[in-house]
Amino acid sequence: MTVDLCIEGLGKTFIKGKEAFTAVRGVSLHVAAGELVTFLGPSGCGKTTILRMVAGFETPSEGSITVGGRDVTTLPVHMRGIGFVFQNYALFPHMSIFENVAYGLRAAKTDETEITRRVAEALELVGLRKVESRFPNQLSGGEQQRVALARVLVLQPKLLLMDEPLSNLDAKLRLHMRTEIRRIQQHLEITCLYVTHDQKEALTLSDRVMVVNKGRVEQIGTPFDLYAAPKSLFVADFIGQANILPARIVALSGDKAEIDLLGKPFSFRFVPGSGPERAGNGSVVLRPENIVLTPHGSGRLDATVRHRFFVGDHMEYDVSLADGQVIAAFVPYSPGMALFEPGQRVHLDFSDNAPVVLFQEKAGV
Amino acid sequence: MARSPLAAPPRDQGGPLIKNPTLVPVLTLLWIILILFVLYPAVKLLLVTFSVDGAFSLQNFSGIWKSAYDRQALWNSLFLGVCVALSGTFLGFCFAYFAVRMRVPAFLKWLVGVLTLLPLISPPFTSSVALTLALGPNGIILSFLGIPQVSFYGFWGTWIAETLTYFPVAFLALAAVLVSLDPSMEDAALSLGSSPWRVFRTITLPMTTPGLANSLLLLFANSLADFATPLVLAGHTFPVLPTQAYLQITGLYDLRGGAALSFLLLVPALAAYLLQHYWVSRKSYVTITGKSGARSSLKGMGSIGETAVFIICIAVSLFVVFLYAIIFMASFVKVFGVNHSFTMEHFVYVFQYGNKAIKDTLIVACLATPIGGLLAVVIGFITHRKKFLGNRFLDFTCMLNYALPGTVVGIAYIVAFNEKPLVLTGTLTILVAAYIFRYFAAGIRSVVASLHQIDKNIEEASLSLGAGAGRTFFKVTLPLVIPAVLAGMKYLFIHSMTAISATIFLVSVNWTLLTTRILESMTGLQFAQASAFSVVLIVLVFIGSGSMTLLVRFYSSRLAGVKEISS
Ligand SMILES: Nc1ncnc2c1ncn2[C@@H]1O[C@H](COP(=O)(O)OP(=O)(O)OP(=O)(O)O)[C@@H](O)[C@H]1O
Ligand SMILES: [Mg+2]
Repeated sequence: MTVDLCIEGLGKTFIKGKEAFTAVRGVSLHVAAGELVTFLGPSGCGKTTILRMVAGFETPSEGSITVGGRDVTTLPVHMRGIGFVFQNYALFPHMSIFENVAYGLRAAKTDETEITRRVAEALELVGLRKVESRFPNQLSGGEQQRVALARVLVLQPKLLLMDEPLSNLDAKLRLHMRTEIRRIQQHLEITCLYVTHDQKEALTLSDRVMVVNKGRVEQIGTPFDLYAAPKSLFVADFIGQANILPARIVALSGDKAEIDLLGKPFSFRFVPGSGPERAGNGSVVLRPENIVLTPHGSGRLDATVRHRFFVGDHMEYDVSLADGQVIAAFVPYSPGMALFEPGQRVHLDFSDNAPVVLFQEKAGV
Repeated sequence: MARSPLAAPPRDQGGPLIKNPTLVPVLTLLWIILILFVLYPAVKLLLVTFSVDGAFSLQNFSGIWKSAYDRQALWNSLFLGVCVALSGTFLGFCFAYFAVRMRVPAFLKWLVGVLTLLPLISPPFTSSVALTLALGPNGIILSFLGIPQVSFYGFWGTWIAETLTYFPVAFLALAAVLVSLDPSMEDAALSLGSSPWRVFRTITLPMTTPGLANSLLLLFANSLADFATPLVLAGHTFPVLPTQAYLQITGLYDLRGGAALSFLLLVPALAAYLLQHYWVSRKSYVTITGKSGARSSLKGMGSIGETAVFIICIAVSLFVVFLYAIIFMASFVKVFGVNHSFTMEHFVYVFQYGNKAIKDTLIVACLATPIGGLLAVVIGFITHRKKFLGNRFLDFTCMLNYALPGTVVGIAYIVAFNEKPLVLTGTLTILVAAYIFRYFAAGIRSVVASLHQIDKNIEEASLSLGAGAGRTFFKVTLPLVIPAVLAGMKYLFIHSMTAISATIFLVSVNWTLLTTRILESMTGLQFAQASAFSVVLIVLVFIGSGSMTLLVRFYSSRLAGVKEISS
């Protein structure tokens, strides 16, 4: 029953008045059957637009969409058999919960006993009981969210599309629903596209993440790949926190690179495939959690503490380097740990085995 | 005089009257005016209706129950109201759907939008005059189609004319509802496998139900109160209450009988108003849960339905254009339908013998508009920002003359002001007062609506920056509500120029109105003069309301600019 999804060279140009605005261009993606792929990217980068094209709400300006080997690019929405979960849930306010969930079944002319059974099943699946006769405005946000989910799951869609389904919930509930959605998706083996702003959500939920920027795909990969081996500065910066420092690459051999950083020589292990091919100017990405601060002695770079924040499980320091750049460093919290005061001079180094990401400066930049 | 309480800091909302001593004189003055021009006539009307020689009696109604003709008028009025409500709402929905939802060229939408506004600013006789010329005896459509005489006067003519006159009201109400429907509802339904037509049937239509009910009630009340159209088109075969009441009073000099007839009119009208105001307007699916993620993407109801809507809208639009063209042409040719040679003689006539009417109409409208605007600001501000006892009753009183059919108001005014202690009949005051208190409600509503949107923090910011209360009101609050006041004044102006149902009872030799001249021309079968009068009136209203629209735009765009800068 599960199908794969293939998007090929998808593009969308909106005509606003007399201006043409290209919101999406050249997006290609293959989603395996039963896989969950998340779209992640800054606001306005085109995530919703891509999703709406897959759903059929928008017609692509170019490219094709294939579901389970069948080209659906121009197929009307109501014949695609996809499930779409809206950010605002879009429950029908004039219908009871039962009627909301039964809506699609009625469209498919299912018989009444079957409808009753399947609606009950679907509500059971999302963990709702005894709400059939209520109306959407009599439910809490989380319950409405579940109904929205039940309403599409009841149709056993081949493809489930969700546009920021959790963004209206509070943090606790979001966490809970996230695992619920994942559980149900894996249980039913539904192929799923999921749009979110929240990178934690994206990293924990998905099989793979597609990072979108300005209507283009920046990178597609497993959450781990994106974090450890970002293919662009944008991805490095967008996933997790990153300090990006200009550096000169002196020499390369295997997965080792000799780097000149602020006039000091470093030798980094870099992620193969992601790194530069030749010596020259570039940048190095340092994750804050890989930075080690020491009061004196061993570190290779001098730094001054600017601010200190206690975040709960770790301390966050803003430190300024010799050339005035401010970077972030995280120190895991442990009882009795030494604290640095703002203004204090410290030394800064990097964990030995931390893979560091290097970027070659592009020609002409 | 009215300024001091307004200038009181808006912060002390919720304080009792004692806290706002400056409010007392203004409120007193307001109540004196309202009691005089709203409550006193209404009470007087009830007294006259329900008493004979100073004692309670239902005798005034017995005449009505005995007269089959009057009974017929009651049923006709109700029947006509229902028919107009249905057909007008249907047309209004088609036009709203056309304008909001359909993929048609922008200029077509614009054109249709303008055409639907025409009946709203035209005098009430326009469609009646044009329809008579088109479909009446020797009407050009009938002779063109070679259809022999059919009686157009009576139900059919009245129904068609009222539908054309009032469907724009439904259009405006329903377009607003359709625009604010959350498009993701329909997206959701489509993605659940529903066909476009089923989505329309099960989602779009049910979600507009409150809007439809609202429009039905509005049109029902409008048709019930309409006086001009049936007077011209209903004829003797189809009596309705407003015209019967009018004839009872002006023809038979039976004030009590007329009052009783108008009371019969009052009951369903008030019921419709209350239902619409306090029940339907509360029920709305426009408010939605959560943040709406989707943008408006046009959703259709399927090709068959859309083709039908398209054809209906274009056909009706063409018909409206045709009707206005007839009026225009009839005013410029010798005898419309017979001798089509160009002449200016009708306009010469209008400016020779109608000069006084034009001048009087303009004087009345130009007095009523600013006074009504000022009252609207004061009352809107007081009812919205100051909480005190009787607030709701004040609101109700201001709405009363608006909710009542014009005929009822007119009769109440002659009943009240024809005898001591206050004789005002035949004066300018009574005409101006009739218009103000009947139509300033729209202004109050829009002032209150815009006050709702002004964040009280803005005023508080001004106060905290050291501006005094007076300065805050004039520099901050007033400029922000000016577009709303202007919109309300525009409404008042249009109706002061064109409305007739109440003032027909109040005109005199000293003060006459353009609309009454049109009516006289119509009853005298002087269609050319009626057309010329109509053209002059339409042009005047167009100039007046057009310049006020420009003013509103000017102010709104300035405000929009301010908002952009501050955000
Ligand atoms: N119907 C439309 N007409 C014109 N422009 C549009 C339309 N829909 C989207 N856009 C534009 O396309 C761009 C991408 O929009 P989209 O909604 O896909 O972004 P998004 O990534 O979902 O953003 P967010 O995270 O804020 O939801 C935006 O700049 C938006 O203004
Ligand atoms: Mg979006």
